[in-house]
Amino acid sequence: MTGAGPLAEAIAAAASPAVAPIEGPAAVAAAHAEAVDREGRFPAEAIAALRQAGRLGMLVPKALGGPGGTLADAVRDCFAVARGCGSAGMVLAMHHSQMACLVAHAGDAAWPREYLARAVRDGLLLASVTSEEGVGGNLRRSLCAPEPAAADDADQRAHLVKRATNISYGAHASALLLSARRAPDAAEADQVLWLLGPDDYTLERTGGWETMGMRGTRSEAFVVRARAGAEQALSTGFGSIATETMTPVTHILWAGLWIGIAADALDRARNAVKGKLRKSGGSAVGAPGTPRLAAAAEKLLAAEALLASALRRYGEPGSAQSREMRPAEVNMLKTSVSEATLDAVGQCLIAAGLAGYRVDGAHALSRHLRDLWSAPLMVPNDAIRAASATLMLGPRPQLGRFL
Amino acid sequence: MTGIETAVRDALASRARLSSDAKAIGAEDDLFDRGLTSLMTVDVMLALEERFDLEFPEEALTRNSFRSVASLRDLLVSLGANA
Ligand SMILES: Cc1cc2nc3c(=O)[nH]c(=O)nc-3n(C[C@H](O)[C@H](O)[C@H](O)COP(=O)(O)OP(=O)(O)OC[C@H]3O[C@@H](n4cnc5c(N)ncnc54)[C@H](O)[C@@H]3O)c2cc1C
Repeated sequence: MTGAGPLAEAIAAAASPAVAPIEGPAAVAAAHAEAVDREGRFPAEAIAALRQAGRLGMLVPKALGGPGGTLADAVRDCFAVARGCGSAGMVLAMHHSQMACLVAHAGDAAWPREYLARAVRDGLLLASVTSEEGVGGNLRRSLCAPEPAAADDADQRAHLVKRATNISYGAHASALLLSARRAPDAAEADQVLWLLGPDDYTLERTGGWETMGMRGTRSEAFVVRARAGAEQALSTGFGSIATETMTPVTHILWAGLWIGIAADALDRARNAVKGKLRKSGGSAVGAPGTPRLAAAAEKLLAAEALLASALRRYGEPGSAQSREMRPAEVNMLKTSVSEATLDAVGQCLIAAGLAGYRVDGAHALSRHLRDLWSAPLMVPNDAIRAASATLMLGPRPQLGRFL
Repeated sequence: MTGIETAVRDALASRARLSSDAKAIGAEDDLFDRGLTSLMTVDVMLALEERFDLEFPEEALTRNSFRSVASLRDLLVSLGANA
């Protein structure tokens, strides 16, 4: 199996559409960001605005009724929404990364194709269920496996039960992509991805989400109980989907949203420094705080350059090019941008001083810092760096590629 | 089965943790779907390089090279491996 179906080819062939700017939904996200963070609630207004504007179906090809947007289009949306509200940006990024897996690996299968068409029509939100009690953050391990229905059961679909440690916006999603072992006797890394529609599963909430940041993602713990027919398991094994699509696309979209959060922090810090200087009548030459602003900008420009180069290396989900992107480079995008953006916002805080340290007012940076602290933790950077180290003896990093 | 293919299966059995027995896996079966990870490919490569005293050229270090027993066997043949 090579992974590329007609769908993926259609995407690769589609010229980048003239996608309209996303100002409306981004402004809605910004307007509710404080309340979402304070109350730890789902960013319902922002997601409704995105749905209304047809942005949730961005990556679905034209052949299935979507706008046929590119991965770069999705990254720009995540950046713009996260600039207003980090949680809303993360919800959008997680949704797009799951949709990309379906678009790239649905092939000719009727069930996922029908789902994609319906998702565009109805603005359905798709959540990710990879985490599981007992496996930590390792995507490539699952414990749960489908159990066949009893012979006398009128419903002959398989049973799936997964104890998920985190499902972002699980309670607000219309469908799930859930990883499981192929069969009860399969190895932990021999995994299949199941697409579960609205009527296929129930969720029992087993843990809350009282966290420092990314509070609006509502990444609670749930037991998922599902009944699913064999056609709902994607035919490409999860090993290929994870390496070729889920991990690279997730890291690319996350990088976009993290840079969006930091971009807003830099705006706030600039305003704080400038406002103080105007009041004091001082000169911009050697003004206090400005070296920190420059240090933050330097980090963010480097992070953005890394993201742009990753987008060029990867291409579009499902394309032949995407399957050959070096896993080490995908890893390094994640570890590098997660820390660069967090560092940059730290510099912004020092530049802004107490105006940034306050938790209220136009220059507050608390939410940005708390949201960004999730970046090195969600899939722990130490674990990713350990993998990158091993991969150094595989294919060498492609330096000089864009020179 | 050629000696080269046997060596490929030996390397997979000793260096990769697959869900099925590497000796019994179909020559064309997708190894990534059987639990092969990018990390494991590095050790499989090291074992095969040592076994045949050759080096995988940079352009051969792609996912497609490691996708199946057959693709690894063909690669080794093209590199002039002697069983
Ligand atoms: C905002 C947010 C949203 C999320 N949304 C979802 C979602 O929608 N769906 C979902 O399935 N999951 C989700 N997750 C969970 C995520 O997928 C991981 O399961 C989670 O980040 C793992 O965190 P952990 O600390 O439990 O990691 P663990 O893997 O348990 O790691 C714990 C510690 O061990 C260290 N460690 C682990 N492995 C290694 C190694 N190999 N080498 C060195 N050190 C190592 C880590 O550095 C860390 O210090 C989300 C997480 C966050 C923060």
